[in-house]
Amino acid sequence: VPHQHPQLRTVLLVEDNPDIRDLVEISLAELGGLVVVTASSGREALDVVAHELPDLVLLDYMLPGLDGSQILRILQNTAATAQLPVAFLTAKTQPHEVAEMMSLGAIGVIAKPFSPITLAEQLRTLWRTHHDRTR
Amino acid sequence: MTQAQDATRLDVIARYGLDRAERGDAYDTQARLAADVLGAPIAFLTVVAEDEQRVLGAHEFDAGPCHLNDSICAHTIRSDDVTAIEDARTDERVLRSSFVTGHPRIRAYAGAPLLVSGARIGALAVCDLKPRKFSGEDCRRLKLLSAAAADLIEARIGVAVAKEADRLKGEFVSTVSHELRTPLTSIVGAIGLISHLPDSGLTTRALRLIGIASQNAERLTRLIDDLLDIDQLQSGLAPVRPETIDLGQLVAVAADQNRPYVERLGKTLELVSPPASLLIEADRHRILQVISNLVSNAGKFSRPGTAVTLAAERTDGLVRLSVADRGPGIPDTFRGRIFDRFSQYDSSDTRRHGGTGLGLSITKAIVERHGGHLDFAPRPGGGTIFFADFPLSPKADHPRNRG
Repeated sequence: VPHQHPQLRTVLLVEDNPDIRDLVEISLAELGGLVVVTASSGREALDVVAHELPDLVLLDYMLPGLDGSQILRILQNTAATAQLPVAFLTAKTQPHEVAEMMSLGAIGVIAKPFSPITLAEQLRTLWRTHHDRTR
Repeated sequence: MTQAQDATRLDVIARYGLDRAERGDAYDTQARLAADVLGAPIAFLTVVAEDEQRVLGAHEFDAGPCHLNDSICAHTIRSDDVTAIEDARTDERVLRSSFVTGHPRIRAYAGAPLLVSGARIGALAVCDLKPRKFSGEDCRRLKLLSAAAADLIEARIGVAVAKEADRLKGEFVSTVSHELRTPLTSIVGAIGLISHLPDSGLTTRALRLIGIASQNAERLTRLIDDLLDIDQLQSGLAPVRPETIDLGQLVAVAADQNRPYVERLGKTLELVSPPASLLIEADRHRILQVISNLVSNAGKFSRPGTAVTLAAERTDGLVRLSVADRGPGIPDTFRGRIFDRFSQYDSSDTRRHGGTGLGLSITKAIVERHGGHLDFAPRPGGGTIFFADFPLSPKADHPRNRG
């Protein structure tokens, strides 16, 4: 049996804007063939991961309440989720902003507006790169 | 003094942070000048704030911050005229001031109010350690000097206010850019999905219309990106992280990155092999952005089948990056406006080439942030050469780095 690379299957999307949440979900599920679980806030996201771990979290950076950086820190400081790969989805696109998000430990930063056609592929690439690096 | 005048004074002081203003050499000079002109041993420039007097500049004696009960200038700001006190020991208003009863034992005082932004915010004052009568001429001169000192304060406020306005504008542009991106994300997402979902069932006609919407949503995204970029660059808010880089190596990297784009336009990209060790102090990503902007412009305007030439060389203590196209050249009437925002020679360029009209302004801003200079010249044989000159890194002439 040839060695099978593990595949990205499930994504937890954390996004407060309902339109963008729907669009990302359609893009990842219908075009990208991924299983998508959604949360509209940090609290909700933490509830979700407490029950079942996704392969990857796609996290809006600017959220009301707990923001993206705070959620990431909580995940990193919780044993069960410390290794969970997180990518940011954000309207902050300036190079220094992106660099700051990467320095928090994100595996990637997807800029808004994103391409709904290639989004799943972008996430697969980020996830594979991360997976190869940490194996 | 009326309460309204008090309120105005305190408002001006608070608005311009004069109660926190730094002491300055220029203010000391103003005080020294007043002492000289009026032949007095001591002079100072004060701000009379809500509950204390602060010294902006002083000659020979600096009272430092003091309580208003000790401040003599607190009396001066009550009128537009010069307050002259011949012998402080017999003047009911000031005889209990610690500067009269104690060090430095002020005896005579003349102060002219400082009129800043319409309010008397403090005073320029001279003092003597023995009783003295101030003449009408003394008072007239002191008033002139206080007007000059007030002008100096206003000029400094102007600079501070302009800096603050720049910062607020930068913040505003950045916030607007974030706010615009949210609805734009939904539009780009929805348009993209409509035409790509397997069961969309759209007619060719509908797809064409969606194509137009899609291209323009992309253009709007680029515009927002570019506007934010140029604003942050020109206001100095975009951090530029310089490191020592070899421009020769960087153009080779950039050539590989940009070649596919140029070839898609039906042109080629040739790299003139650069000499070794073209060291400059620059932000690598920003210089790649400069090269990419210049190469994509050259690619758009070159004639089909021709080459865009990218080169880096050393000239007279400078490192020159140049990008040459074999296009129609830049019309004389457009030369003066080429670096202006949104300037495109032909308005159909936008549609044909998909640019935002901000590329060259951004490129120029980046080059200038690096202490460099961007310019262009006709290319011998036709076309245009754009070149960016950067200062050579001081590390370039280290023996180990000499090319």
